[in-house]
Amino acid sequence: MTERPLASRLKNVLIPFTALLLALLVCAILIRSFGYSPLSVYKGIIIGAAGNMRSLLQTLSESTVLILTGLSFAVAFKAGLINIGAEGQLYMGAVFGSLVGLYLPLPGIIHKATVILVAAAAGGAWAALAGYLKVKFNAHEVITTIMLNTIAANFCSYLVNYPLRASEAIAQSDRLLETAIIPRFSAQSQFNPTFFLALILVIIVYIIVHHTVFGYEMRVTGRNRNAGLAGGINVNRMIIASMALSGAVAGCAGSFHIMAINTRLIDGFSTGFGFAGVAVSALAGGNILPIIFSGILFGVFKNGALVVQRISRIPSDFIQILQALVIIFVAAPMMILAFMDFVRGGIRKITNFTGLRKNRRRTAP
Amino acid sequence: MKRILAVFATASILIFSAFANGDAAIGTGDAGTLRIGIILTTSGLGDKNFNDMAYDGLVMAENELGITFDYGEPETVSDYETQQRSFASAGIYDLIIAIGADQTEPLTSVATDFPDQSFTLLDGSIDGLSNVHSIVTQFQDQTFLTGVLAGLMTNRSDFPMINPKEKRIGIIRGLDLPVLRNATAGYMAGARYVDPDVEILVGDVGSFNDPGKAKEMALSMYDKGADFIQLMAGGSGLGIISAAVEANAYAFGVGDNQNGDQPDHIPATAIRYVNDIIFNDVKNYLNGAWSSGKDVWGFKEAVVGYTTENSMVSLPEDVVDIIEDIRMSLVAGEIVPPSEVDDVDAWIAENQYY
Amino acid sequence: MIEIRGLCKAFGVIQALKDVNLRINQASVRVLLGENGAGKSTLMKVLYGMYAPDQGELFFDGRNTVLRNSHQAIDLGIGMVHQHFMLVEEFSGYENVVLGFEPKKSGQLDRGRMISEVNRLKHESGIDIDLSRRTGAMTVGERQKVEILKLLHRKSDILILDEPTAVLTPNETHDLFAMIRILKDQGKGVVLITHKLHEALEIADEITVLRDGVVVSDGIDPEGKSREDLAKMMVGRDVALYSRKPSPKVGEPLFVCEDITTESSGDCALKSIHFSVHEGEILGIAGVDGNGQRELVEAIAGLRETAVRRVFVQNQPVPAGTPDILKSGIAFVFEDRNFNGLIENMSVNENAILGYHRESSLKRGFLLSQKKTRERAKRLIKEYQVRTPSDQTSVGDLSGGNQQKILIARALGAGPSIAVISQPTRGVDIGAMEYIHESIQLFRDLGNAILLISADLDEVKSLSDRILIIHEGEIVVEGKPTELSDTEIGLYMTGSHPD
Repeated sequence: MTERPLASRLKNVLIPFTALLLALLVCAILIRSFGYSPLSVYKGIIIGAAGNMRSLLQTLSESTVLILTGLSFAVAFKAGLINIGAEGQLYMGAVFGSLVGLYLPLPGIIHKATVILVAAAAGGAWAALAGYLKVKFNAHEVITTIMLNTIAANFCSYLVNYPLRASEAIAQSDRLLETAIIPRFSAQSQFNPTFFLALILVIIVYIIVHHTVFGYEMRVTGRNRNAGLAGGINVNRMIIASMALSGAVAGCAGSFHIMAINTRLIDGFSTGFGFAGVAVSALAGGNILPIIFSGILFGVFKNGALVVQRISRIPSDFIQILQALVIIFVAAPMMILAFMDFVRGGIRKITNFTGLRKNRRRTAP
Repeated sequence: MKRILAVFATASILIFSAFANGDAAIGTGDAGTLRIGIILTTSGLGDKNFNDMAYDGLVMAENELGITFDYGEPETVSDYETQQRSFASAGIYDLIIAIGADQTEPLTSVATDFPDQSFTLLDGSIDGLSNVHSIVTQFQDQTFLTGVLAGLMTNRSDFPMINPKEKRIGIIRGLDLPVLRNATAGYMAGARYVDPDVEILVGDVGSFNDPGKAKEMALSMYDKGADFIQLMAGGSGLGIISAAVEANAYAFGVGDNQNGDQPDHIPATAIRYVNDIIFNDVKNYLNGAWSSGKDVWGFKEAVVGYTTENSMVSLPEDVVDIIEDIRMSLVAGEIVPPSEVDDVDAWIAENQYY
Repeated sequence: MIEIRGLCKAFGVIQALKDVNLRINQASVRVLLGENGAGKSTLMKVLYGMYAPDQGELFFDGRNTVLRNSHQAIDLGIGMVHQHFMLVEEFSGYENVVLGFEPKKSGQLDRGRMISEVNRLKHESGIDIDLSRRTGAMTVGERQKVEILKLLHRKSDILILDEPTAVLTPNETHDLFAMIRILKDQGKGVVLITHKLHEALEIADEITVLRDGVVVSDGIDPEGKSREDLAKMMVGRDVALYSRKPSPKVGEPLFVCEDITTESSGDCALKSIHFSVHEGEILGIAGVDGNGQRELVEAIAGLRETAVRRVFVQNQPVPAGTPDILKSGIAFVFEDRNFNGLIENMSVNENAILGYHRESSLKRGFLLSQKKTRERAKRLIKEYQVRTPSDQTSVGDLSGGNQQKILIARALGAGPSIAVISQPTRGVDIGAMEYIHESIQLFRDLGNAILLISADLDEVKSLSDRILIIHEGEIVVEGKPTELSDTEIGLYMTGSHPD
């Protein structure tokens, strides 16, 4: 609801931007020291992620799930909760969504909607469980969600290895019923309508968080639980509800992935989407709308990594190092601010020396 | 603020261009050079086996045939399709090779979407597509000779590491998969071909990367008097080798030659020349001999075999002679090992070495 | 002895200190008085080497000195007790006192010497405290003693105490002042930063008043000065401090508390508290902090479990739990705005609706209307003279006084008939305090009922129409403020009876 002054908004943009730049620099040094060319890596990322229409669309497709898991983390974070469980909630969403997709014959659009809703409910319930454990037994959500991740992933694994197993060779289920599959726009990439659904979800969640009483109570709970209590907010209910909303978003992500990408439930299908969401959200500075951009950026990394490796034979691990560096720099804003001060100081020295700058201004401490 | 941005931009350009003297070439290779793409399995490079061998095959092709190649390492099963599609839609590859049975399914859909792109699939078969060459190897051929060796040695009293009492040997598999059942049948048939009384223990780890569990299973098999255990468990195999060392017993390698890993405990490897398979497929493509359809290759085609190279275990002269004799028969096609475990009894009834 | 000449310090465009001259003498207590943001803390941080001055000189025992960091200041014998203590909670009092300057024997801490050295310091300075405990387990007052001993152990000659009484109970403040006097007699120079007028008058040898970064008055002898005199210097205009204004009309009982009893769970148990507040009346509850005031307010609000809770508004029982009680027309200002009053990193407008955010007047469809929220906030800002750049400013960026005004505005502006107001002016500037008092009186004059709880005796006496004194969870006496003398009240507050 708050419009911050321009300066602090600019700072919000500048910190992630600087973090990205620093990460690129440090990673370049690393790549160089391993005897590869940073330029070809970065060029590869760009070509791979946006070199042509197909790559660009593939990048957007890769970013769909990342946007949603990032959104999931951000929602819980608004309520002062650290939901590390998007991974598990995504699995639960995928599992229950695929059950509906496999066995409940419904007409097309209704079938798809039902799969998504059931997935959202499953993910939400799984996250709400962690919220309940926090409220009831004061169990920290970081611990419980991590544990619930393992349970969910193994539950999915059990299902596709035994009762749902369709092929002897691979632990995976049958293909979903045709009515539950979201078709891609073209064969050239995996780009599909779920990307737009993800964007819509971001906007819906943004409105919920910033423009409804529920969202207001959520944010108050997140920032000062005692003030919430004094202001007549049922804080415990908010904790559970916020977790549920966060989990529902992750559950949606799971259903999107099985409906449009895998078209079936596969053992261990997530490459850590849930954890990547933490990074996506961190890069967005805990805000909701910028998640779209940071999600796409991570999609760029992911898709770019593929191409870098394919084309330049440079291990894609460097891209993972790059992602990790971005997070480290974003997570350490003081470091960034110090760096910015350093640069600013450098500018001042240069401009003073050249006499370009007449009146010196001081910076606040 | 603008000034800061400007400095950042300048700095980054400077730094990047300073680094830019390396192999800036993206898209190496001249027009006319054959360009191959390969999608490895989720185990990726460094597995000292399947993936590394396939990679070696392409390196060999690069050196000898002058081709170039690019490779992709998927992280999970659901990355297969993404990678295949990414290679296919790049439109610069003459041939795209996918290895591993679990690529079959996604490749079916990708190959359908890219009918003008040639694909080779190793370890799976896709029917009805004119742009896919499927290669399947005979796993029963691969393990037949290690079975023979185990059958000949299991009750010898002149080897301190062999328990001469029970005629018992074992095989440990990652999962109960069709191809591994074929391997089991070949191993069983080989052992009983030379001694119908040999008992074969079969175990499934349940995973291709759980060496700990595999080790426990192997130890228990050795404890029951098994003298040899055939590895058929991917990454879990390391556990079996370490169990062999601990129990002071023997194990057979699989895939790439593993004899050198523990030369005193691995007398032989049931080898599969993945490198040759890949190399030959590329060579065929280059010569215009590549065609779609399904090939089932075995001992006769020399894609699988048996080797004692690098092992320190010195086998008795008579055993070596017998194995060589049987090997000749296999190459000649006089012996055709059974592919199913259920058929082994019937096969033994008709085929006996002695 | 330290002398500062022509000191200037700016942060960005804000001139925090302008041409400040100050002398600090040994064996004397200098009180630095000023409103929040007047530059007191900045001045002391310059003196302690934490900020580099833009201009000005520092003379230490007559020598021109440039302080580069606080280590240098410590070496020169300047010690500072910060508002937020710098103690290692896991360490004992002894260990904290010697921290950084430990007596050592062959490279290791010499515990025997540590204890004897510190005990000698304790004895000399008359500081009575058991230092063998973990500092984390100590009360705020005790921790402050540890901080002061730490300075003495470092052989500081000049002690700077930044708002030392802000966190202390009256008794602890009394002890602190006794301690300061002993230190002064030993020849130490003490600089005490405060905005509490009566403390300045009580302890100072000389008072320096800062306003907007400028020394408006220096070397004031507290003898013969009144609080009003000091307040005028601080604020720059005449201030009506604690002016009594009795209620124009006290009506029928509106808010009746028949019985509130709680069981103790580590805090103060309430023993059958009962009172009634009439229309147009301020009922004041006085008492030393920690005698059940906080518990009473929370019990009324239903935020705390009670054994008995019989509270009525116009003979209707008052529901427990904040959503319902706010709807029943009772508004609250809780004692600690940072704890449960405000959300620091949210905007003024979002803070101004907390508790009333479900009202349909703020909604547009099912959405919370930003426009209506802001309109409401703007109205409150105007009516209660909250000094804020905008309604979208983060509350944490406002001064304590303006934060408190938001709380008062939120509660009284929501149109309740009853207000329970706890510690309305704690940590608030004189100017804001005067305004808050006026707002409360105005609200009463409209015929509303107010329950006022304050540890500031002057506040309770001047505002209330009737006074209750609470001691250990019990109301010990009731009376008119005009009928009870300060001495009597003081005795009741500490649990003794005047007769």
